[in-house]
Amino acid sequence: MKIEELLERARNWDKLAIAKLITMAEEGVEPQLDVRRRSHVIGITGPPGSGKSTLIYTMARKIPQDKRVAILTIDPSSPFTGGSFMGNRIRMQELTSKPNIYIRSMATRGIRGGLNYATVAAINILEYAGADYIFLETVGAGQSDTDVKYVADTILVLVPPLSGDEIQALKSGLMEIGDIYVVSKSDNPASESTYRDLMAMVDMVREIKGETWRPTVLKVSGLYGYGVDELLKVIDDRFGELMKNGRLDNTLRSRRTLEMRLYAYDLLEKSLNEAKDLESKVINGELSPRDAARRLLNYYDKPRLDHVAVAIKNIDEAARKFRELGLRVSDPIVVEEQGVKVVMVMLGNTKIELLEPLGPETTVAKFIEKRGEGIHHIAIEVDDINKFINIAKNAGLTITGEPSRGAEGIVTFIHPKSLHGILLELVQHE
Amino acid sequence: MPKPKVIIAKLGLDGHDRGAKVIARALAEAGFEVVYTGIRQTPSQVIETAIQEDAKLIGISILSGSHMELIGELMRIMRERGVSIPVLVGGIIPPEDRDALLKMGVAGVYGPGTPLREIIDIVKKLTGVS
Repeated sequence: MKIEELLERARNWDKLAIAKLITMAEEGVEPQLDVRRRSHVIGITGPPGSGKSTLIYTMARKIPQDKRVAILTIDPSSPFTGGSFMGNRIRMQELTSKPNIYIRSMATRGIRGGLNYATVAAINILEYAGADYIFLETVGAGQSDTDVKYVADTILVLVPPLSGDEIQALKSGLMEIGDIYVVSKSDNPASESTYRDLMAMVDMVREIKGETWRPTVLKVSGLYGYGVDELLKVIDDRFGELMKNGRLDNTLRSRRTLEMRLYAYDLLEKSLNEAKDLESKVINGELSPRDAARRLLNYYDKPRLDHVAVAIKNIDEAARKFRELGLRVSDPIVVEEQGVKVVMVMLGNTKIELLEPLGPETTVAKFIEKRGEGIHHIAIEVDDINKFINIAKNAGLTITGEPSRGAEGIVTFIHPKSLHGILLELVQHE
Repeated sequence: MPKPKVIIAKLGLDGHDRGAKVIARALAEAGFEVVYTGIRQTPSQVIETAIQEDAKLIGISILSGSHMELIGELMRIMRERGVSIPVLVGGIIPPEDRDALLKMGVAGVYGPGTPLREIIDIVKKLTGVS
């Protein structure tokens, strides 16, 4: 099935099409989707066994059938085998056949645990498909679980009874992100003291942070359904408020940047897995672990080649040729001080700088007149330009002038007469 | 890249799920993403789950003796819904029912004592994992 057809069917809440699109996203193929209408994304977090799946089941069952409900439930992947035993559906299987509800189990995959980029992509797809509610059940606990803050409009933190002693420890992690704190399993009499502890904590934080939204504390039993109607009302009220004060756009923005970060982690992991040659260099002592890590990320030691500059008569024509070669070419910029029009041709971690003289009296014009088109100078990036100038002077080289601010940072040149005809630019990026 | 997603389900009124859990865990250890549905599933629930999860294989565990009816219905609904992924059946299946199940379109029938390695290998083969 073509992707356009899948998208069209997904918009009509065709679960097969939605499922296929999410699988594609898991495999790294994600279509560009425009946000048609915001879903209320509700993150559900809390320690393993705190009742997240059961609460989602009870809430989803009570939501009117004309609302589209999506449930994403995350289970951990084994860091050793990559496999995952996903059991969150068990508590919700009764919902499986309801036409308005879509449930998808996702494994954390990857090195970090918590959310991965495919989760965010799945949220994009479900929002595109017109979900009214998207419940995102996290793995539970752990530092990485706070990522949910950047995708969810509302965060429910579940705290089961008898976790009193852990409340202190929870404070600096999950306890910072909740919009609604839920004392789960409130059918247990011990929930009363957990409720009081949470109220005290929330009051304190509210005062310190002075935030507009007052985190709510509710006692709920997912199993028996106590407090669930009230919880749903608080959730809907909050959505109304977020819509009014424009904060829904904030989560949309932070979702985009989170997706970028998570995809970067994905790419990092891929290159780590493929870095067998670097691993063996670390093992046999050829590279230090830190140097190998830097090299993996293309953090080459300086000095490094910053760019090669070429003097050209017609920059537009040259730019067109580089574009035809499939290279990424910047728009031309005019640098009056240097008397040139500049276009950058991007190449991995370096670039080619095309220079066209602005007038016949400029240095680049004179260069072309004397020597024809061709390489004008080579630029290297250094950590500390003044230190490097001293080294160059001690080596008997001539510096053309004091360092000055150029297009790429602080620059100066080593005179070609002192360096075998090479005009060497020194760049220190700011 | 993790291996494909597979569903392990208990069909019908049968609460004995130790075997299903062992199989699910073994496949997870082998690198699969395994969705375990829990007990007392209907055929349409299992198929709906497979659709929503975009699963590449369904493994059914039945110990109740009603495999002919339940698997028959499962295969019929699968055809109706246009879901064509392999189905494996495990549990207490009398030898005389084996061929009938295979004839219904089941990809394999495995009884007690089957080595886990054999299950993993057939699941790999059916899901195209080398």
